[in-house]
Amino acid sequence: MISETCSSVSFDETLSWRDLWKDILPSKQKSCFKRSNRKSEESRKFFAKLGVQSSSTGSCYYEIGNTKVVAAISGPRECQRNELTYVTIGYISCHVTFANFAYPSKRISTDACMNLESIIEDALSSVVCLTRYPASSIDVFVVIIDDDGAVLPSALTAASLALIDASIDCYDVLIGSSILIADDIMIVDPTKAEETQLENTADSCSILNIGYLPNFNQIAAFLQTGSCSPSKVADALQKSISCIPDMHATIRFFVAQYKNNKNS
Amino acid sequence: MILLSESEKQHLIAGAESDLRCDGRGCLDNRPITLCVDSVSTAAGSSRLRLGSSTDVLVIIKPDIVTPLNSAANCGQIKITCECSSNASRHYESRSECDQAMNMLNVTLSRFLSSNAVDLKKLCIEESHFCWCLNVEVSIIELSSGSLISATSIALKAALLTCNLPRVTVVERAGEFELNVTDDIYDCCSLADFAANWPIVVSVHKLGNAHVVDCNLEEETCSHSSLLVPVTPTGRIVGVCKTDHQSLTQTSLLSMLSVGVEAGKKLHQLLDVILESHISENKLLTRI
Repeated sequence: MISETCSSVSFDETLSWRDLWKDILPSKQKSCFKRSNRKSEESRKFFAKLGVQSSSTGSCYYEIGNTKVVAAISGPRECQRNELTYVTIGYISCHVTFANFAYPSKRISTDACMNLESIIEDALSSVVCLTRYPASSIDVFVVIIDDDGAVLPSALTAASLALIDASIDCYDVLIGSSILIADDIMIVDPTKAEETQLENTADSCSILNIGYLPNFNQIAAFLQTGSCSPSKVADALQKSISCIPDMHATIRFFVAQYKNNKNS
Repeated sequence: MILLSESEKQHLIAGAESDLRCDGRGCLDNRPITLCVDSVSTAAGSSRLRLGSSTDVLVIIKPDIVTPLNSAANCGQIKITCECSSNASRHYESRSECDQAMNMLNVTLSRFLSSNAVDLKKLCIEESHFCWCLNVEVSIIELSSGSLISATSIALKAALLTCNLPRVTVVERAGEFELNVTDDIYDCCSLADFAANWPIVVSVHKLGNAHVVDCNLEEETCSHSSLLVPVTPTGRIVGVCKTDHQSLTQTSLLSMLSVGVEAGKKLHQLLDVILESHISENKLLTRI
């Protein structure tokens, strides 16, 4: 390693060591991206525990890798909105907050929270049997404790499990998954570090966040951030959905375990 | 959201599936747009867009010179604020409809601001010292004809393409940087370069089995679900989001996406044709 502060070596001081070594360093660093601990199509291990909060109707703590999310459900209660559309069907309202220690160095804007809120509301509206709760509102509170990638998918899964804990009628459980598309690479369930690394090195980087209903094989939530070409979306969608059946089996196990503990 | 009876909904959906909508359009046809640019004399750029009979949006751009943020020392800034007039919706004093529309707008616009389709480096004057901050004010005058987000994004792109910033030169004097703003009112640089890759949002709704673009309020009420597709002129997508209340199959989602991308590219070409004469006139002015 040539140190730039070393004065005994005589070289042109306007060149950095990278310029001198560029013939030897690999030129296409982005195609050398490899994950160390799991395959590119494998998502991280996760943990879910229902019934963590005693004062709400239903709650769930969900953790995937280092991302930790808590969701709590309150309701169904009388609907605050007077519109006639909500006389025959119910209404879901969501509030998302980030813990102050989730990002100690930066402030989360209200736009980021509103973004998540609107997507979670729309996704849960397709999961809950709203016709069974006329003129009622179901409040969903999501707190994001730690962000290491996949915040939206974790929030969706946690909220859906909290609905199960609250015994609210649902068509299916909602499972979230994310995939990162960067030039020619696609990696499922990127961590924050992988996201930042590929955003800085790749020409174009995009993340797809998906909320999926495994029994119906339908997509309840879809958010794409960054810029990408539409031809890659089909392939990326298929890859991110392929890891959901395994997650579904594990989630059924967590729910069954919780119900057994509750009964005994 | 307006109240429709079940038979009205069935009528609209069956019509859309046969490619025939209530005003005679096909599923992929847009309504005529009335666009008026550069009409507000106090702003650097402005545009007013009228769609259908009652969707009316006014976008005003006022530039400011600020110090760049520490985390992005070579980038400019854009701040978008939305406001809704109190008689925007057809119901008297309906705050919830206006609030919903404004939230939706804020969220959609903030999504593609953070992507790399918007090159904020072009707004930088002098790294770590001066940069342009564009204060964009979106006023929703009326929103009763649906398709608000699409209309706003077209108006925003039109305002940016025709926006003229005064020419600014930076002079270094003994380590301190000084800014000289030109006195000549016709000596300005246009933002057409910066806005060339700005995306336009297309909202594609699913009515029964049909994928419909540019819906009015009745069609939006009976739509199954919708996809907001921001498309750049080169056909890249920058922040697609599924909204509304039902789930979609994979094939539906992908075909709605491709419909949205095609519609977006056509809108970009249309906007370029409309504003070509205006932009070339501006270039003539600066030469004088």
